[in-house]
Amino acid sequence: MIAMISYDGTCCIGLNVDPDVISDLEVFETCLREDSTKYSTCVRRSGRP
Amino acid sequence: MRNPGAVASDALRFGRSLRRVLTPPPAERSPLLRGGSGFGYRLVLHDVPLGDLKAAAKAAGGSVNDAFLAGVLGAFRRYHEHHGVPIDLMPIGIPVSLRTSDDPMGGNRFAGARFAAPVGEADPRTRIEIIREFVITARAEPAIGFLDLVAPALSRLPTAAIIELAAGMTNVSDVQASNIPGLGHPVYLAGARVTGLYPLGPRPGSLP
Repeated sequence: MIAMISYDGTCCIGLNVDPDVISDLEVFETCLREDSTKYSTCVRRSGRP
Repeated sequence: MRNPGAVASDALRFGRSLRRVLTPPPAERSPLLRGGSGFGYRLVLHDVPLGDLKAAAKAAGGSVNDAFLAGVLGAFRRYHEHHGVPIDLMPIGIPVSLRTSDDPMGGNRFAGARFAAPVGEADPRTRIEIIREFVITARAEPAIGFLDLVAPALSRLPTAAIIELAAGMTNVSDVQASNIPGLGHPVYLAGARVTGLYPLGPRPGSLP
């Protein structure tokens, strides 16, 4: 699930990813950043229930 | 009933539209994104300046939502190319705004639509144009907001049946995207300035 909320001039995008489906999330995050060089920050958190 | 012919014609039109809305999009799920237990999760937060998305949307004649979806597709195209598994189309679930000029200010109405998305298209401008065209077509479907109509009946079903229905409608997609209107000005919580608002929604076909 990829969702976006705009807040005070920034598009805040949150992704909920299945780690079995996208196993190398670091590569995917690089893809996200590269797609727009203007993507400014990228913070990751992870966990399992 | 004053005009049974017109009512029957409307019902037929709605029925045909409902079939189109419920038919899975004409795209195979990505071989790279198959499998998964559905239980683990990783959360990623990402910032994009709103001005950049607005500029991209304006340049291609689309909305901010179209530009957001085009960016998501661009990331998945790079990911597939990195793994040597390029694909042309990918089934994704997207929000379609149903808001009209009659809606009150601040009102927000969205319906979900499933889309064979042009993930292989390298030009972001072309991706935005294709997304725009799909959204305009989807919005014109009489049955696009059918969940609003059946929601009162759904609420009477057992929870297990609702989960089964919802999972069945979303597990044909590789990605589910959503867009929630936010705030154009900073807000404060207990005196502290809120620095960001990040939506982390449920995945397609996954259990809550």
